[in-house]
Amino acid sequence: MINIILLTGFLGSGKTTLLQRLINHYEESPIAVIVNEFGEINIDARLLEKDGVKIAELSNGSVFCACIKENFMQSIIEMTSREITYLFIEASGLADPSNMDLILETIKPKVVHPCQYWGSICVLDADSFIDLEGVLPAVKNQLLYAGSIIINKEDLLTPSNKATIQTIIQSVNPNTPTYFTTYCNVDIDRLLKELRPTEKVAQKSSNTLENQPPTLILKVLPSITLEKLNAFLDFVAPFTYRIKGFVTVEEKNYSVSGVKSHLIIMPWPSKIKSTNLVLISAVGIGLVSAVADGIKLYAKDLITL
Amino acid sequence: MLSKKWKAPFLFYVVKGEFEMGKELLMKVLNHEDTHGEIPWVPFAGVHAGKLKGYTGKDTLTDATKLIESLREVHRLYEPDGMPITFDLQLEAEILGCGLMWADYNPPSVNQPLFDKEKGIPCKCKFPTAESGRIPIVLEAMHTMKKEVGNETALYGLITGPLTLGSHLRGSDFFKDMRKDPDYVVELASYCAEYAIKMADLYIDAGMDIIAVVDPLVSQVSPKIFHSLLHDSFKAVFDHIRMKGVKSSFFVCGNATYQLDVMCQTSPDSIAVDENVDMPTAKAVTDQYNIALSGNIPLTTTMLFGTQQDNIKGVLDLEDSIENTQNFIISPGCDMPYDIPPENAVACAMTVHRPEEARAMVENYSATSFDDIDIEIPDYKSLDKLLIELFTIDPDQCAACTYIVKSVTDIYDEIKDKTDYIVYQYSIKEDIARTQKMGLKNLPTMCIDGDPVYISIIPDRDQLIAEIDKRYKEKFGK
Repeated sequence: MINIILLTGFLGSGKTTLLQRLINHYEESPIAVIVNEFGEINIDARLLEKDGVKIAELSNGSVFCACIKENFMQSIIEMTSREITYLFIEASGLADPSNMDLILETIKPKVVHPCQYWGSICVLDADSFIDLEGVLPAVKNQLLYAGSIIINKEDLLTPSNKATIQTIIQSVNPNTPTYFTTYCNVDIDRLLKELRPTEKVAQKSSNTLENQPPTLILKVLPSITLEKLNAFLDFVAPFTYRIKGFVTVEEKNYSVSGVKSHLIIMPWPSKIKSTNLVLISAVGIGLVSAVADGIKLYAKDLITL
Repeated sequence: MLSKKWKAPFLFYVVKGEFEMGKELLMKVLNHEDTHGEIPWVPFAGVHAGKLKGYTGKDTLTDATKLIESLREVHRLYEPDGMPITFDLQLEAEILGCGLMWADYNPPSVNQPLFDKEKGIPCKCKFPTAESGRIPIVLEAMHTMKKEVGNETALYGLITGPLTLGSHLRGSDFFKDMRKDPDYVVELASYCAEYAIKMADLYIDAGMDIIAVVDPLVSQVSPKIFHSLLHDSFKAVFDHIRMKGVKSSFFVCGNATYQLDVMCQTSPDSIAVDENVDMPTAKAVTDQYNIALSGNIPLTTTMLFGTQQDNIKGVLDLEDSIENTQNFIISPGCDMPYDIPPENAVACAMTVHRPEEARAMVENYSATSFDDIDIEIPDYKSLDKLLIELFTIDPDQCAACTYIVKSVTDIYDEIKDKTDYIVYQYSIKEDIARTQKMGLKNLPTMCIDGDPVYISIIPDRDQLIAEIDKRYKEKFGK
C-alpha cells in the first residue's frame, strides 16, 4: 500500500522545511516526492535532493491547473508504479487543491499498486496568513481542504493575531487538528496519525493560467557583494509574494529564501547549478519596473534578466 | 499582379562611406550622446518593402523568402542607419485568435476581435513562442538580416503595444471600458504587457538592436487615463527591454502632443511620432527626459504624393526646425504607405546623409499644393438631416480610423433618421484637398455639420447618441 500525503501552504510558509523533516523521519522507508514549483526553475527540488529519494519536478504552474494537471496525473501514476511506501506531494504555494479528490479518482484505474490518500497537511504562514486569506482564493481553499493544519512561524505571532487565526480556522475548517510550530518542528508520528482526508466535496480548482502572477528569473553575477545583494532584495521584497534561489557571492554559495520582508540568506554547502533567483510578483506586471529600479539603485551590472 | 511600376531614381544616389552613418550613429543617438550634428535615418518600410520587389503586402508578411528579398532591397536603396524587419501590428492578435482582413497594399487589419461580445482575458498558454503564428517568418528574416547587414545597420523588432493589442482583443468597447470598468482595462493591458515582453525576448534573442513598442492608439486616450490605467504596463515593457540590454522606442500615431509627457514617464529610449505632432514642441518635451525623438516626414502629402524635391525640402525643413539635433532621428511619420515612389524615400535618405548638397538643389523651391483641386463644402444648413463627415487617414488600415468609423456604423440603425454619414480618406487627392479646405489639422476627425466635434478622440456609443440628439434638436427643434 502506498500512502499519499499532500502538502499545501502559501509561498514561503515552510512546506519544504516540513518535507525535509518528513523525508528525514522516513529515511529508512522507500519514499518518493513530487515537487511542484510555480516558476520555471524548481528551487525546492534542489533543496530536497538526497540519496535514495526519487524526486519528480513539476514546474511552471500549479499541479491543479489545467496547464500541467495532466503531467501531475502522469507523475502520480509513474511514482505509484514503484516499490515505495510513501509518496509526498509538495504543491506550489499558489496551488488550490480543491480538485485533489477528482484527480485521484480519475487516475484510480491506471494506478499499479494500491494507494491510500491520507489527506492534505496545510502549512500556514503565521506572519502573512491574515493578510492573504481574504485576497487569494487559493490560500483559503488550502485551509478548507486540509486534513491537518500547521501554523508555522509561531515566533512571529502576536497574541491577538494568534486569536484571529484560530477564529478563521474555526470558521473555515473546524475540528481539524492544528499545531503551532517554528520551523515546522512538529511530532511527525502524531501529525500523520491525526491526519485524515477531507470530507469536503471536491470542486474545480481556482488555479487557471489567466490568474497566475508574473514570475521573474534573475541572474546574479558572482561579482556582487552580500551587502549589495541584501540591499537589492530588501528593495524588491515588498513587491513579491516570494523570493528564492541560489547565489554565488565571493566564491561562496548561498541559498536565498524570502517571504514579504523576511529574507534569509544562508550558506549552502553543496554545489549549485546556476545562480538564479525566482521572484513571484505580488504586484502583477509592476514587479518588472520594481526590479529595474532595484538594479539601478543597488546592483547595476550585477543582476540581469 | 502589381500594376504600378516605378523607375529607378536618376537624380540621387547615396554614396556610402562619405559620411558618418549606420548603426554606430543611431546607437550613439539612442545612448543620448553628442553626434556633432549627424542625424540618423530610419525608413519605416513595412509592406512598402514588398513593393520594391513587386510583392504584395500579404506576400511579404506571409513568406520569409519574399520578406528577406524585400528587406535586402530596402537596405540597398534606402541606405538606412536603422530599419525595421516588419511593421505588422496584427501578428500578435492573430496568434491570440482575432480574425484578420488581408489587403494587398496594406498590412492586415483586425476585423474580428476576440472579446467584442463579452469581456475576457486570454489564456497565458497562448503566450508566443518561436513557433507561434507567423513568428517563424519574422524570426527567419531577423536572423538573415542580422547576419547580412547587422554589423552596419541597427535592426528594429516591432511589437504591438499593450493598448493597441488590448483594443484588438476587446474591440472598440475597450474605450468604453476605460470609463465603466477600469479594473478590466488594467488587467487586459497587463496581460498584453506580459505578452509584449515575451515577444521582445524572442526578437532580442534573434539579434534585434532596438525593440519598438508600437501603439498608435495612445494618442486616442487622455494623458490622465494613460497614466492611471496604462502607465505600469508600458513601463514594465520598457524596463524589461532595458534590463535585457537593448534599446527601445515608443511609436505612436496621431496627435500625441498632449500624451508625450506621460509617454516619456514610461522610460523608453526613444519616441517616434507622425506628422500630427509639431516636432519642435515634441522635442522640447523629450529633451526634458533625455529621450531621443524620431519623426516625422509626412507620409501621404510628402512621401506618397510629393515629388523628390518635396521630400528633400520636407526633410530639410524638419532638420531646420530642430535647434538641438542631439537625441534626434529622422524617419517617416509611421509605417510607409505601400505605394510611396521609391525615389522619394531615396531623396529623404540622400537629404539626411548629405543635407548641404540637398539644400543647394531645392533653393527657392515651394512644396506641392492641392489648392487647385475644386472642392465644394456642403451647405449644412439646408440639409434635412445632420451630416457626419469622417475624415480618416485610411478607414480600413489605420486602427484609430477604423474605430472612429465603427463608432458611427455600429449605431447607424439608431441614428439613420437623424443623420447621414460619409467617410473621407487621406490618400485620395480630392479628400486631402477637402481636409485642408476644412482646416483640419489632425486625423481622424469626426465633423458634424462641418464642426470638428471629435478630433483624434473616439466617442463611445452613449456620448455620440447624446451629441447627435442635442444637435438635431438645436437644428430642427424636435
